Amino acid sequence: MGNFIVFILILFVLAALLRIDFFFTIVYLLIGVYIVTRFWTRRMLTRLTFKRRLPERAFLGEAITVTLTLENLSILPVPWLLLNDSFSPVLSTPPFYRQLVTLPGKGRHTTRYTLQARRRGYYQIGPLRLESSDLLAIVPHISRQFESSELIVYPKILPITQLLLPTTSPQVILPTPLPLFRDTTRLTGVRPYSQGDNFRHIHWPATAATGQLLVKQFQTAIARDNMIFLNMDRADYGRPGQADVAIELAIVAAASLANHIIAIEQLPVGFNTTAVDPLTERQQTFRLSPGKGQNQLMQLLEILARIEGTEASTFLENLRRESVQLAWGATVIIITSVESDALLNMALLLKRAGFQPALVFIQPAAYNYPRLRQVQELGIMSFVVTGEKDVEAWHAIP
Amino acid sequence: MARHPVDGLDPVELLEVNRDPWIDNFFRPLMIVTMIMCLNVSIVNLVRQINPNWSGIYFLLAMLITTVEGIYAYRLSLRYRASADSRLRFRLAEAVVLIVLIKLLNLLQKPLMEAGAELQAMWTTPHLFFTTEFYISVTLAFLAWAMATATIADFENLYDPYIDNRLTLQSLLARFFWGGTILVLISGITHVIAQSGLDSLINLRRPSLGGVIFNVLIYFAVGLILLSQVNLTRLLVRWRLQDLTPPPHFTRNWAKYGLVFLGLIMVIAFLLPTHYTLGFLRIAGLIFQTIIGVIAFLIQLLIILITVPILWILTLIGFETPTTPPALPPPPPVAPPPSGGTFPPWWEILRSLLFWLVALGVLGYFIKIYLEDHADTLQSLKKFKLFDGLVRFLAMLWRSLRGWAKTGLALLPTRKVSFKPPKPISTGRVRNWLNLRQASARQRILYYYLNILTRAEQAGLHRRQSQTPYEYEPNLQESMPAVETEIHDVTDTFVRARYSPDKFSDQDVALIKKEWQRIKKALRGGVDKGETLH
Repeated sequence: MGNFIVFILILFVLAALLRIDFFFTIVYLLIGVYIVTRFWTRRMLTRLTFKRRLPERAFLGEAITVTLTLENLSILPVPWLLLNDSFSPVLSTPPFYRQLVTLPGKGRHTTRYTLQARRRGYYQIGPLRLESSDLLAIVPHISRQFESSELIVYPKILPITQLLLPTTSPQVILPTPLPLFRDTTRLTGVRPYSQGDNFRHIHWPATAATGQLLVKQFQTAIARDNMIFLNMDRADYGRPGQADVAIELAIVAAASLANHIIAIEQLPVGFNTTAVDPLTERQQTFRLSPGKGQNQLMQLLEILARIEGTEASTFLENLRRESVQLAWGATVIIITSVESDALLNMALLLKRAGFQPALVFIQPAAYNYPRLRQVQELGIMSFVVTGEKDVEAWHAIP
Repeated sequence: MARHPVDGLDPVELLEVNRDPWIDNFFRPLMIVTMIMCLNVSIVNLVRQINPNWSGIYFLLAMLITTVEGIYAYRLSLRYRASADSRLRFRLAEAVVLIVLIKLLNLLQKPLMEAGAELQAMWTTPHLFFTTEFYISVTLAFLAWAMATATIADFENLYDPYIDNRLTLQSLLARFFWGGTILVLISGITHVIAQSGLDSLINLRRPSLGGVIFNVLIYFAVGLILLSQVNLTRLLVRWRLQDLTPPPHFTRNWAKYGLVFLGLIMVIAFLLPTHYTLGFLRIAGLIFQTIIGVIAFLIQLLIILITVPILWILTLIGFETPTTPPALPPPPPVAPPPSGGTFPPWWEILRSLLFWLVALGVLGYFIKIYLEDHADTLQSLKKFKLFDGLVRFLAMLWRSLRGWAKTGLALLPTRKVSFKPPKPISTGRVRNWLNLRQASARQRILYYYLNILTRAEQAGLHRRQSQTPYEYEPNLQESMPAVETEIHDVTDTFVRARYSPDKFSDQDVALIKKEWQRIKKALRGGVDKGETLH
């Protein structure tokens, strides 16, 4: 439309020179076409609202339905609109969804498409890009972008047939009415003071509020906390290509373990790792205190879904630091790749401190563990996972 | 339409676009023929001004046949691809047939006797076949044929996904614009001669001429409809390449929106003022003259106001002063009445002024937004100092006008705005649907924690939707370290109340309530120093 303005000016000059009223009408017509087209086109996209609905979380293998709803708040219709929603090729190929629509004035359009949760991870769905133009190709194409949404796909969870983790508890099922152990971090309520109660356990604010001497009541428990420490240092998992596969297997093992312990054995599980968070694109420590229930499992799975391998080697240091805060007698499940002196020393230290370490070695490729006998002699339970079948079977190394 | 192999590609491999035969065989040719015939009608009207005895019907018929033939001959040549020799033979034959036809039609418009005599003369003297009128007719016919063929060829190229259709669009637009310019020029000259005579062509002072020139209107209306059609075709081809399916009834909706859009703009265009008696220069001259006159009047008035007291004082102290008092300055000169106007002069001036304001305003606004849309053109023009200076001057003028307008509006008495008291900030009171006294212990615990969330949000401690209570707990503790333990207790108890089957007593609730109150206080900015909690 480069000559449009030249033509309008020539027409205007001709109309003025010839002094014919009707030609000014023609000039108005052409200018009006341009101005109205421009106004219409620009207003079209600015008066559109958009909603994208999809589940924020999904399990591996699930089909995810994404619903896009467009609403035209203006009385001006949109002759054509190209929707282009993009996503990762892991979820679907081709990695976009496109559709052409016409929106009448005050109209609404809803469309759906399906994605497949083929791999765990954190994904961005979108941004949605809208494109349109006018009827006469006078103004250039216009476009508008809407924000993207998040989708987290949980890692694969394999059913574990039998999990024998080390514990000092003579009891199998918790919680126990036998007050062998009172967990001072778990306040369950208050009760009237009885002779012999520790003065340090008096609940002063409640006492002041009620006017009666009250002491805190703690949950009686035997520490059957389980704490999973997952090593995400890529360097510890061998060669770069091998590291990715091994880390994925490690995550599957951690997720399956957590699911079994919480859902089947109904025991508390905590989690700790240092990894890269794709949300912030920085390395950070993920820490989840031991807890029970579906909510705890979901939180744990969400972390496992998001994390990616890191290049910094801080696993053992992190393990040392975090183990101080664990309840006495907790089972410490260390998921890593290869045994090292430092790791064995750490495991021994944990055992001497009253914890029950269990080592899980993730090694997809064939590997001869030279120190395995040493580990067993120390009385530390160890498992080797070379593939998913090992996760399901979960045999401890005799 | 069957396609033959092109450049070694099998026809099946070529990307085909679905075409509507009604559009291709009837609608589009009709539009093209209509536009070309509008041009021919303007030529006929012009010639008839010079030679009123010439009817022009057969000329129009010849142009019509040539145009239609050109379109269908091109379509035929596409269907039956032939060698270069065959195409040359086809074109030669086509030319001979058309020339003979034009000659026949030329003869038909003459009286029978004259035509017979001319035929006999041609038999003996063949060169008499070629007359000046014939040459002009053939030239115009060739131009019409060329325009029709080029236009239909451009339309065909739109469907070819392997050709850049932006060039095709530019070619069509250029033809539309230049055809329109020639049409306006010819029709305008014809209209002036018809209304005011040949001499008035060079008379720029004559009044403007009214009336509707229908062939011009039809040309532009049809041209805009065809442009819409071109854009539609481009989009359909592009979408076909991208494997996109247009929405249902898309073409029908497109036509509907286009017709409504053009119809509305046409109505508005017809309503805007177009008649003026005074030309732009004349109006500008009048305005300038009036301004100068007003300034001169004010200066003279000022001089008189100063000299009269001085003269009176001089008289008092004995000086002789002129006996005749200084005369009042003449009023500003009145604009001369325009010639030929039937309305009072002030109405003619006002109407002309209104017209030029609207016309120049619309044109100026159009240029402004056009340059906004084409930033590269604006940057190129800004390299010229004159243009850059003009833009700066206009921007400064606009800013000044806006400033004056704002100042003027500020001087106007303002309306009193009724004061509405602000909405009370939520104090966390129980909503009507939850009575805390009747709620269970679990419900009250849930309420206290959720209330903390609401207050924290109001205080600026935003919680992401995906954050769990335990994830949000450190955020709260960081902002209110003094009540760190309380925050932990309330969070922990909330999670147990929400997700576990544990039972809660009134004492538990009392404890949590106390901690809730302390957290509330901390959020408001203070902490109860009298109590501590382990």
